[in-house]
Amino acid sequence: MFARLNGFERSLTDNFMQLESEMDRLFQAAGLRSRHQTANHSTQPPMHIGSTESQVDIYLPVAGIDPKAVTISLEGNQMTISGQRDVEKSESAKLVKNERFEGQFHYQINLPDDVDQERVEASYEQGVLHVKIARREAAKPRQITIQ
Amino acid sequence: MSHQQEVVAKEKAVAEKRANSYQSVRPRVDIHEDKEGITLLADIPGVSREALDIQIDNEILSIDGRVELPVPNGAKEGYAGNQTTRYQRSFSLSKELDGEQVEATLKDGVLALRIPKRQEFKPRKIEIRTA
Repeated sequence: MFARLNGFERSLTDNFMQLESEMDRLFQAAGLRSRHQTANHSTQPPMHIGSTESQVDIYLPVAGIDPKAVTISLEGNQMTISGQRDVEKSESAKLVKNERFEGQFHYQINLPDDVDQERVEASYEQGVLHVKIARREAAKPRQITIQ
Repeated sequence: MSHQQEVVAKEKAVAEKRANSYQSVRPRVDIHEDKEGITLLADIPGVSREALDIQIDNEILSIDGRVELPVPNGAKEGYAGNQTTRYQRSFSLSKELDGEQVEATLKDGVLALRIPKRQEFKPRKIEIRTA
């Protein structure tokens, strides 16, 4: 699981999936069958990033992790979120379907330049990691000097 | 309507559609099978108990859950929290399984469903009587 996001655009995989479905539509419109059937559904829920004038919110869906095993760092305007996910195993049971992600994950997100390094909060609820970063411009009263 | 107005109207319509639309996600699952039944684990991060609907009808098990992200004050249309994810997936259950006895738990975005085998399909230990 690796995603690199640029600003506020959707992730590359999302764009790729959109492109695939777009191509499928074109093929269908031309009366042709697409050579490969692309899945209509994604299996990876998207990361949501939102911003207001005062803050940036990142919502990263990662179910069933130990929040202690997640590292969040902010360097300049680059946020890195990485961690490890372990999936429960059983000795006595046979695994008949195995789709859930296991292992390390790493995300790199470019944030606006005015994020405040000192005011970053993170919480983990219902399997969603929420990182809230305050923006400097809104908090700081603007002084205008008359020349 | 001028060309520019048309473009603006179109963009507005797209923005509205996006705000009301959701992205359908087929959740990833693990299924463990043991002698007594199966355990299905599904990743549905962001779904609360209230927003989750699990149904069994005619040996079809369906999971449907919605993610509602909070929207902070001052957020404009098109803010990330306005977009929603909807997890949908169904499974056909084997006749061996007892759909009446399903136990569901939800923790940290992982849904665990325990579905036992019907009594007649469970392995029985036959005691040998001493003569």
